[in-house]
Amino acid sequence: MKGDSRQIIELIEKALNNDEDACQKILNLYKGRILSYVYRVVRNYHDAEDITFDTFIKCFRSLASFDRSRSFSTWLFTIAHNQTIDFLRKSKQEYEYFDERHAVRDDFVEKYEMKKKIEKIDRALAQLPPLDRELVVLFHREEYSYQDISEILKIPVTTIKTRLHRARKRLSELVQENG
Amino acid sequence: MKHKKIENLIQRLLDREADAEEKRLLQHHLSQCEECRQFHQEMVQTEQALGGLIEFFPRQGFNDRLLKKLGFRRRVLWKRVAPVFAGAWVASLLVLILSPWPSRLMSQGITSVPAVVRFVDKIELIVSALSHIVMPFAKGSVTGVYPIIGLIFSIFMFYFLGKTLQKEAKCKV
Repeated sequence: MKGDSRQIIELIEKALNNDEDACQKILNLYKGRILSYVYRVVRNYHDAEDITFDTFIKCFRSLASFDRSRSFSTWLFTIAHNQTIDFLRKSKQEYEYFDERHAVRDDFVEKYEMKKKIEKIDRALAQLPPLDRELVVLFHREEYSYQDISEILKIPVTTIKTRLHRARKRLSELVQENG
Repeated sequence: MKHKKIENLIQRLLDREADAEEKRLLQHHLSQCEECRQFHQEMVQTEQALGGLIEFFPRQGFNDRLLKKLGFRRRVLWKRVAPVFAGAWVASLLVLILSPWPSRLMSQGITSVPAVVRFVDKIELIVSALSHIVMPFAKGSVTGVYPIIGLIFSIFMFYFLGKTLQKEAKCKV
C-alpha cells in the first residue's frame, strides 16, 4: 500500500490549500472504510461514528505534517487506531481482553445486515478480542500487508502473523459453532 | 505429511505468501486427506466472507458537521452582517431613486397591501428628509415605497453575495 495515487496526492495538496471540495472528496473516499473498521472494533455504531469524526478532524488538522513518502490511507488508519484505543481506555474497556458481552449491537446496524453468511462471520468476528478484530479487518477486509499493519498498530510483524493465524482459526471455529 | 504442517501451509496461503511449490504440495495433500480438505474449505470460506463484510457509512450531515468544525462553514455573525446589509439597502434605495424606472408601476404593486401602506407612511417622513438631498439628481419623484423595494432588492443582493462568499470560504486547517 506504499505510495498514493496521483489523485490522492492532488487532493491532499488542494486540502492543504484550504480547498473545501478536496476535503469533501477525501472524506467521501475514506469515511466508509474508517467507520467500518472502527465499528468492528468498538461494536457500537454511534461510538464508531464519533471516533470516525475525531479521526478526520485530527487528520485534516495535522495534514501539513503528513509524510508524503508514506501511504495516506495507512497514516489515516493509524490515527483511527489511536483514536479507537483512546476511546476504549476512556470507556474503561480492556483492549486486549475485551469481552463481547459488554458490546452493544444497536438496531441501526441490524437493519443493514442483509446477507446471512456475512452476518454469521460478523457475529463471530465480534467474539474475538479487539486487537484480533483489527488484524482480521485490516488484513482481509482492507487488504493491507503485514508491514502496513505493523505500521498502523505499532506491533511487530511476527506478532501480527501469530495472532492473525490464531484469530483466523478461531473465527472459522466460531462460524461452525454458531451454525 | 503431518496435519500441523498442512495447517501452516493453509495459513501461508491465506497470508498470500505460499509459493508455487507449497501450493502444489498442499493440493496434493488435500486430494488425499478429507480432514485437511474440510479445514481448508472452512478457512477459505471464512476468508471470502471477511472480504464481503458490509461497509458502513456515517449518517447524513457528517461531512457538513465536520467541515463546520474545521472552520469551513462559519456561523453568521450579526456584527458583521448588519453593516453589509445596511449598505446593500442604502445602495438599492439610491439605485431606485436615481434611476428612471417606472416608479408608479412598482408603487401600485406594493401599496395594494394595507400593512405595507401603514409601514410606508411611517418611514415616509424619514425618506422625505433624505429625498431633499438627492432630489436634484433624481429622474422621477421620490415616494415612500422605495425603501420597501430597496429592502427586497437588498435581500436578494445579500443572498447572492453570501453564496459567492461561501464558495470562497477559507479552510482553517
